[in-house]
Amino acid sequence: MWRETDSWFEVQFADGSSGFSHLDADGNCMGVFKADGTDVTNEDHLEYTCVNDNAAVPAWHKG
Amino acid sequence: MPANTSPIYSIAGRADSVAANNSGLVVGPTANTSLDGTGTLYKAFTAGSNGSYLQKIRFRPVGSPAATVCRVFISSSTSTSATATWLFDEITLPAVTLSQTASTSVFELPLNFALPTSYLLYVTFGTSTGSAGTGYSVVTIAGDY
Repeated sequence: MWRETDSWFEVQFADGSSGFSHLDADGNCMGVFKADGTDVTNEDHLEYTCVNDNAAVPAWHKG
Repeated sequence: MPANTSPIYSIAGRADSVAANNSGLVVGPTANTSLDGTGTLYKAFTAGSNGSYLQKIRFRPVGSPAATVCRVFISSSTSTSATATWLFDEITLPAVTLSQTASTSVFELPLNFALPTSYLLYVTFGTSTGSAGTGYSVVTIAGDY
């Protein structure tokens, strides 16, 4: 569920692709997604770096 | 017959940091969910030539990092393979908001054990703490034998 108080990080994965990290109002990560909205949160080895900690809400998540 | 009946003490104090080992880097922006010591790990400490006694590792927020977990690994080698690198402990690091009028929380993980000669400590973060420069200064307090 998305709330207006949530925030999004734009991230870059180790393979160079981009994606998003979804955070709640308390700064807790709610999920990590590929750019197309594919949820990758539960991958065993997930490596990514935040490149923008004030990203816009991804279009696929606005529902 | 015991090999040693006398307690030993460190001969010289040591402090080492992730920043000192990684060109001043504030760690946390890069997340690594691996639990087996693979992927990007950040070196925090290298034991001395006679081993080192580790007292604690300290996490000082830099900026306003998001919540994460820091994982501490012991490694017998600088080539951090899954066989040489072992998950030792974790510490929860909640979201912190920077203030210019009050100190932010600091977090410590007690260690209190002797690290063998040339063994290393590494850290990783389970989720990203923010963009570059927003994360943690990680300092290890120890003494060399």
